[in-house]
Amino acid sequence: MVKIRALGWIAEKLGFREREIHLDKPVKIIDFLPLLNEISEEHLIILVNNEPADKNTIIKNEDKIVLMPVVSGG
Amino acid sequence: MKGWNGRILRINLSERKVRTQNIDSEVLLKFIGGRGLAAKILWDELEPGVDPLSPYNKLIIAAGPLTGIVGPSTGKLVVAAKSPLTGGYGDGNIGTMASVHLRKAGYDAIIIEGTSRKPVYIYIEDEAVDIISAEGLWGRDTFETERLLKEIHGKDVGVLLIGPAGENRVRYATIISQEGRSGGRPGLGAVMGSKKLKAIIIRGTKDIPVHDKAELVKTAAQAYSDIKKAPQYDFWMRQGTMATIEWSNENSVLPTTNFREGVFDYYRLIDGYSMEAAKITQRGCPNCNMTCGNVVIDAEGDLSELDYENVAMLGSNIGLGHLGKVAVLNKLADKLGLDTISLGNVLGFAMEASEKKLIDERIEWGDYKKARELVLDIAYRRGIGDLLAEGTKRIAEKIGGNSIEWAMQVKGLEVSAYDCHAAPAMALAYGTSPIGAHHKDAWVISWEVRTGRFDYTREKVEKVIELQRIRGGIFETLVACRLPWIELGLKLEYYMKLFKHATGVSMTLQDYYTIADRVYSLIRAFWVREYKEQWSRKMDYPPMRWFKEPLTKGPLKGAKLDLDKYDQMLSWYYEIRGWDERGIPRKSTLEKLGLNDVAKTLEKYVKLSQ
Repeated sequence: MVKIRALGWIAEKLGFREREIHLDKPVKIIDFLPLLNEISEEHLIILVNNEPADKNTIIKNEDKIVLMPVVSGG
Repeated sequence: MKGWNGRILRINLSERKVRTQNIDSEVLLKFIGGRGLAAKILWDELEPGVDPLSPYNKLIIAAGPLTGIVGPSTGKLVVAAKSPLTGGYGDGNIGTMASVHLRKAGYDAIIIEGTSRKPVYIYIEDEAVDIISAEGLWGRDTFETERLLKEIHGKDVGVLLIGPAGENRVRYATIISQEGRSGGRPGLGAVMGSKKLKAIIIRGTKDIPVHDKAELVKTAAQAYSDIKKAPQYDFWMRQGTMATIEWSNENSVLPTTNFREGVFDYYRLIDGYSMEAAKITQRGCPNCNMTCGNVVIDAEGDLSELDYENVAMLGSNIGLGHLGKVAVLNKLADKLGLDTISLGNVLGFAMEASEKKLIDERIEWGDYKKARELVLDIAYRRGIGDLLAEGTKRIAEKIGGNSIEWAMQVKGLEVSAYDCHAAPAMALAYGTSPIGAHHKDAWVISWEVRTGRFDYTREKVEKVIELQRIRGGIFETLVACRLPWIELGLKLEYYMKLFKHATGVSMTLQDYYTIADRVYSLIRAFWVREYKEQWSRKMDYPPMRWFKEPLTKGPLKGAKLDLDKYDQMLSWYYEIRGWDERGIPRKSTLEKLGLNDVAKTLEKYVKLSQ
């Protein structure tokens, strides 16, 4: 299973805060989260297994994805 | 010159004398306003080595050319003085109607000198200035005092005031306005208290002079519209900075148990969603269309205005996972006039000192009842509160052990609410902030998370300086809130346009960077003049805890900073800024920035590198 966490307004946009999905084969993040097309890269941080990633990073089962906004700490 | 009033109001409380003076237009163009103007005044007028709590310190209240005019979130002021907490330059930014009134009264800044023999407050209405007895107000909290003053002077005034913490010279007392707006972390409230000055009330009735009002209004309208179109706008209006609790926990930067850890088991109990459940309204600064003060009902049934910093510092950092109780501590801090960031640090430090038996008092992690008592004891300097009122650096020097390593401060100012075990650029931002460890000049963690947080690169150093130029330079001298830019993506070009329409002066971003560098070098010169031969690059080190004690929890368990690599970043930082290996501006740098007179003076105190 792929574990996905979404934070802040990115979660609102995607419609979930946490989700688990099963992949039949490795695919790009954007292939199973097409709503990310509506969020500009400049507003989005993607981490895969705690490492910086992007919408085209290839994901396999057991990966952990975090999608979060670029906040600026006040 | 339009855009500025070109006048300073100077009030001497010892002599009860008031006068106005013009500001040289060259000074305004070189330092703009706000922090730039305040630093220039303090450099020119303060005798080095003065006791910050003596009559010889000066309290500066400074606006900038964008303050109070139409434009996004321009209702801000800078307050500045020599800090009683750090012994160096100290300033803070506060959102308040007093900013608008100051400008409408015809001034760009107020200088408060001397000390009154008895408690007073100052009432300013355009040219008329009264110094009035505050005997009946001294000892009252900030909420009650502001209400009483508004009953006398009307609700349509701007008020800056202190609570008992400022009166009792707590070294991290702040200046408060509008029941929850707070500014001046490095003890500016204590400076005001040392002058026996309870409050400043301002009513301005004039128009603020601007160069091209039609274009200014047009540009401002467009900027306001762009802010509302940002994709994150609706969510921001719901949670504001409180969304950062979840974000920080996810990224292991949420300060927990005196910055031992970056994750808190109970973060969901204090996060933005918990806040939303308790929220009843929100407040903001003048001229703002993205208000960030979320008001909740606290555990005692009162209103409390929350944001990320105070919830993280009075919540996870002291092990307290109950938003209503955190809100009580926050409300008390605002009423008493205490800085919530330093307060959360001091409480966390005291809990750790208790655990390690370095103090006699028993204060458990998350002990709300004891924490609540201590907040009051600190403000009134009762019992151990008298020691805790001194700030973590002085407490550590007193109780000894290795506690200075976990006194979470830089130059005496406590760290704000981001853990840096795995954020070297943010550690550098804290280390080199011009007032001590504060995030307002550069907050670089988002960028670090995105680009590789464990690297120590020159690129990171350049990013810190870029942010310091923008946040600490542009926004602190124009004096407008940075949040429309930094949180909702409003283009920086808007600020250059607003500045042009306000003043008639065209400036590029690069021109402005030069001004920011000038202000930074001037402030650094102020610090060096105060510390003289005691100054060293170690003044720019973050707390040793982040180098010596790794995280023990969360996905980044084991992470800590590397001192040699941090030192390399610091050397790059100095090189880019044109400072020598001690962190002192080179003579050639000061001259290049048009600070020849500063170089001449500084040479009397330390040998300057070429």
